[in-house]
Amino acid sequence: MTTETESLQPQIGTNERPALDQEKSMIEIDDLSFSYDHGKTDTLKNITLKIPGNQVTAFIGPSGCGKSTLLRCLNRMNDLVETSKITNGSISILGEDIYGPRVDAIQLRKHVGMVFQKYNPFPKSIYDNVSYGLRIGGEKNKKRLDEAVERSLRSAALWDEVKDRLQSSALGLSGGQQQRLCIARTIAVQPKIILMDEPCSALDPIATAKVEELITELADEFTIVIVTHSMSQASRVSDNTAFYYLGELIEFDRTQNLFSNPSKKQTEDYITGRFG
Amino acid sequence: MPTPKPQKKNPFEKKKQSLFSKEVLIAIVLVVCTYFILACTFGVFGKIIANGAPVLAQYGTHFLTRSPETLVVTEVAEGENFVLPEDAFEVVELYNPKVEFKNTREGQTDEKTERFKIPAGVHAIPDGWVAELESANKGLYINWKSRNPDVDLVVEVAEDTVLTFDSANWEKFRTPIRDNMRVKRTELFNVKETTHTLVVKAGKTRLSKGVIGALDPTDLIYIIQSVLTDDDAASKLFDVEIPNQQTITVNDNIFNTVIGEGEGKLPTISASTDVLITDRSRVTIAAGHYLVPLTSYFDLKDANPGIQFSVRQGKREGVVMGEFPEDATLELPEALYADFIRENPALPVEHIETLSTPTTTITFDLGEPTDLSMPNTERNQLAIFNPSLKVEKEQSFSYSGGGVKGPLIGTALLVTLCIVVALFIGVSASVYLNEYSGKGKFLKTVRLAMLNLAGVPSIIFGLFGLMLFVIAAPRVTSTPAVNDKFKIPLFPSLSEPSMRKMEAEQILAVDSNTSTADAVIKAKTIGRAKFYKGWTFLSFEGWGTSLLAGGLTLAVMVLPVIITACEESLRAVPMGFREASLALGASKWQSIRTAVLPYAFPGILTASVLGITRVAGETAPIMFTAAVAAKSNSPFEITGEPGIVNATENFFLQSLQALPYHIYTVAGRIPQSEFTEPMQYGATLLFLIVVMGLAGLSVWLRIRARKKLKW
Repeated sequence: MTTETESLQPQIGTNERPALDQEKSMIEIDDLSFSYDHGKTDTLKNITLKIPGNQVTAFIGPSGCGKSTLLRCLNRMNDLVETSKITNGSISILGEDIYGPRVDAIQLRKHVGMVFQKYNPFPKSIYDNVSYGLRIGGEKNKKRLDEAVERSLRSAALWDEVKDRLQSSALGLSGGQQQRLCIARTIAVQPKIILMDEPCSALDPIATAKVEELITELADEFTIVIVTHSMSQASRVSDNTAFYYLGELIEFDRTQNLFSNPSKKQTEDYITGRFG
Repeated sequence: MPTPKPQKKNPFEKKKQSLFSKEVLIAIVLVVCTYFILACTFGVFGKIIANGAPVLAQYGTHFLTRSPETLVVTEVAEGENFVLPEDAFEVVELYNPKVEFKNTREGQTDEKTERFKIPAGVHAIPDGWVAELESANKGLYINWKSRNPDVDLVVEVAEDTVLTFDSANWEKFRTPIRDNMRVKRTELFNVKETTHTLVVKAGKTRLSKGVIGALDPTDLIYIIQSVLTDDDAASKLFDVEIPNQQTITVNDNIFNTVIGEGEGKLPTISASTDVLITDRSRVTIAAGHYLVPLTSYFDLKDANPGIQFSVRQGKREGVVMGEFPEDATLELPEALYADFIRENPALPVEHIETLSTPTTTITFDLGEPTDLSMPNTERNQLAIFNPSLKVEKEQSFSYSGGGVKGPLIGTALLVTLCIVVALFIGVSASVYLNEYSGKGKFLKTVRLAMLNLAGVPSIIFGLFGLMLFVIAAPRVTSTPAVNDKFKIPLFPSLSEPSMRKMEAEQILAVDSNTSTADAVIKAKTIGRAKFYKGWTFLSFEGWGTSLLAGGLTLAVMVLPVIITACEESLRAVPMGFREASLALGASKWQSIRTAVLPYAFPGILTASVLGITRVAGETAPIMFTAAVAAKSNSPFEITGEPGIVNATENFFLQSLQALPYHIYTVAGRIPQSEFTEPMQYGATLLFLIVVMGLAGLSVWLRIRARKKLKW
C-alpha cells in the first residue's frame, strides 16, 4: 500500500506545466463574497480564483476559514441554507455565471458532482447506488445502466472488489470502499467537475491511500477540487493549492511552490504548524 | 481470661428502623402505588377475559359470521315434532347448551324455487313486488318509468253482480283487466255533483290540523312553520304561510271542512260553486277476480253500499311501470310465486321450471316447557316450520343475538379510510414542514396548532365532524337538499334522476323556468327533502351519517399523531442522503421521493399502525358521524341504481356499525339482563384482541424496520 502512495510522489513537480495564471481555467471565481445570514456578516470575503481544468486543486486552511463554504458554492449546495446569500462577485463555470438567471441548480449539479466528508451511500444495493444518478436523470435502459455502473466502478477502482455482489447492500462495504462507491456514484453521471469535501477524514490510512490514488487518476478525466485538513494530503494529491484564512484567500499557487516557497507569512506559519 | 477487647466503634453500624419511620412509609406508599397499577390491569383484563372467553368459546365462528340481531327468548310449551332446518337447529343448539332436545331425527323438505320469464318491455308491477323480485334476484334493478300511487286491488266477485260507478272510473276499472272482464249488461244514467272554486288569500295565517289534512289532496301551495305529528289534535293550530294568491278547486267534502267561521279555517277572497253532471254506468259483471285501482275501489264501494267485496291487497303501496330492457329470467320461492301470479294477473309471466333444493331438517321433541333463546332469524324459521307453535311467554333483547360481523367490518372500513386519508395528509404536511418550509414563525404556529389539536377531547372531534362533514360538507348533486347551507350552480344537468330515485329520496322535479328560491319553497311546502332543477349544484348539505364523514373525522383526530411521527421519521433520515441525492442532480422532489421517504417509511408505518389502534377504539368521534346501532345489509351489498358512480357514492355515504359503538350500545343503551351479557363481554374481548393485535403488529413492524435499516 505504501509503495502505491510513494509512487505518486514523483509526479508532483516533474510535470512540466505552464505558470498557473497562464492555464485555461475551468472555474472562475471573481471577487466573491458570501454570507450565511442575509448578508450581515460575510463568511467569504472578496475571493478571486481561477481553477484550471483537469487538475487537482486543494483548498487548505484552518477550521472555519470558509474553504468548505466556497466548495459548496461551486455546485450551489449552499442554496439549501435559506439565509445564505452571495453578497458580491460571481462564479463562472465553463464561462457561464452559475448564479445567473439562466442557470438551473439541478442541471448545474449534474455537471458539478460532489463527494462528502462522511461517506453516505444510500442503504440500497451497490448497483442501485451507482445507477441512482442516471435513474433520476431518466435513464431506464438496463443495458446502458449496466455499462455505466461497470465503467464507474472501474474508474473508482472498486469493480474487482464488488463485481460479484452488486446486488448486496452498500452498507456491507468497508468505510474506504463506501467512500469509493460514493465517488463511483458521482462519476456515473459524468460530471465535468468533482468537488470533494474532506473525502478521507473518516477513513483509516490504508483506505485514505487508496482514495488518494484514485483522485490522482481521476484528474485525467475530471477537474477535481478537494478540501482537506491534511497538508500532507494536499501535497500528495494536488497540482494546485489555495490557502484560506478567516474567509479570505491568502495564497493560490502550484502545490510545490506553495509548500516549498510560500510567499505569504500566514501561509508559512500555517504549513509549518505554527497555528491552525 | 480473655482480655476484654477494646470496644471498637463500627462505622457501618446498622441503625434500628422503626416501622413508621419516614423511609419505610415512603417505600410502602411507592410499592402500593405500583401494585395498584398491576391490580387494575389484572382486574380489567381478568374480568373481560373471564367473562368473554367462555362466550367466544361457546359461539365460536357464529360470533364472527353473523351481524348483531335481536335475541329472542321464547318459552315454548312441551311437545313433539318441532321442525327446524339443520343450520337453524345448530344455532339453536349453540344458544341453548343446557336444553335437552329429545329424540332428534333428520328429515327432508324441498325448498322449491320457481323460475320464470318476464318479456322485455314496460310492465306494471306493484312496488312491493319490485322489492321482492330484487331481493330474490341478485343484480336485478328495475328502473321505473312512472309510478301510480293508486293501489291496485284484486277484487273477488263471488257471483254475477250489478255495479254502479262513474263512467270515467269504469274506464279505469276495465282497462287493466283486459279480456277476463266479463260484462253482461251496461246501462247509463246521470248524477249531479257540486264543486267549489276558491281564491285563497296570500299571507300568514293559522290553520287547524284538520284543515291542513283536508287540503292535502288539493293543489294549494303553503308552508307549515312547524312539524305535524300523529298525536296532535285535529283542532290544534299551526302557523302557515301562503306565498301567493292561489285558485283551487275542491269538492263538497273538502269545502265543508276548510271553509267556515272561527280560527283555523282557510282565508279566502271569493268562492264560487259549480254543479257538475257525471255519467254513471250500471254494469252487470260476471263472477271472478278483477284488478281495481284503489281510488276506483272506494268509488265502487261508495256507489254500491250494499255489496260486500272480498279484497286481497298483497304487497302494494303503488304500482310502478317497471322497465325490462330485455327478457328477464327471474326466480322466486314457491310460496311467493303463487302470490305473485295471483296478484298480478295482467303481467305476461311465462313459467319456465320449478327448481327444488333439498333441505335437511331436524325434528325434535321437548319434554317440558323450555326457555329457548335464539336470534331473530332462527325465531322466524321456527315460526315458519312450526305453524302450530305454542308460545307461553316471549322476551326480546335488542342487539344481543348473532355476532359482531357488521361492526367488525364497519370498524375495518372506517379505520382503513381514516388511515389512508390521514397518511396522505400527514405525510404531505410533514414533508412540507420538514423539507420545504423555512424555520420561521409559520412553522412554530403549525406546531402549536398540532399540539393543541392532539389535546382536544375526542367528543369535540365528534361534534366537529358532525358540524363540518355531516351537516355542511359539499356534494356535487343535481338534487340538492332543501335544507342545505348554500349551493353554487355548476352546469346544466344532462339527465333527470330516475323515477325511482325521485320516489325514494323524495325528489321534486321542477321545470327550468322556476327560480331556485321558488323550487325550495315548493319542495318545503310539500315536505320533500330535495328538489331537481336540471342543474348540477355544488350543494353544501353534508354527507350525512356516513363512512366518509366518520373516516375523515377520525383522520382529523389522528393527524397530529401521524404528523409528529412522520416528522420524527423524516428527521431521522441522515442529511447526507438528501445532499448526496441533490449533488447527483436530483430535483427537490426526486431527492425526497428516492432518498428520504423510502428510509422514513418504516417509521411512518409504525406510527400509522399506532394511529390505527387509537382510532379503532374511538367511540365519541363516530357516534355522531358514522355509526348506527343496527344495519341489515353488509356494507358491501350496495343497493340502488347500478353504475360505478352510484355504487361509489352509496358505498361512501352509507352509515355503518362499528365495534366500539356496538359495545357502547349493548353495554349502555339497552336494558341489562343475563341474556345481554354474552354479547357485551364477547364483543369487548374480541375488540381487545383486535386492538392488541394491531399494537403487536406495530411493535413487530418496528423491530423488523430496525433490523433492516441501519446507517
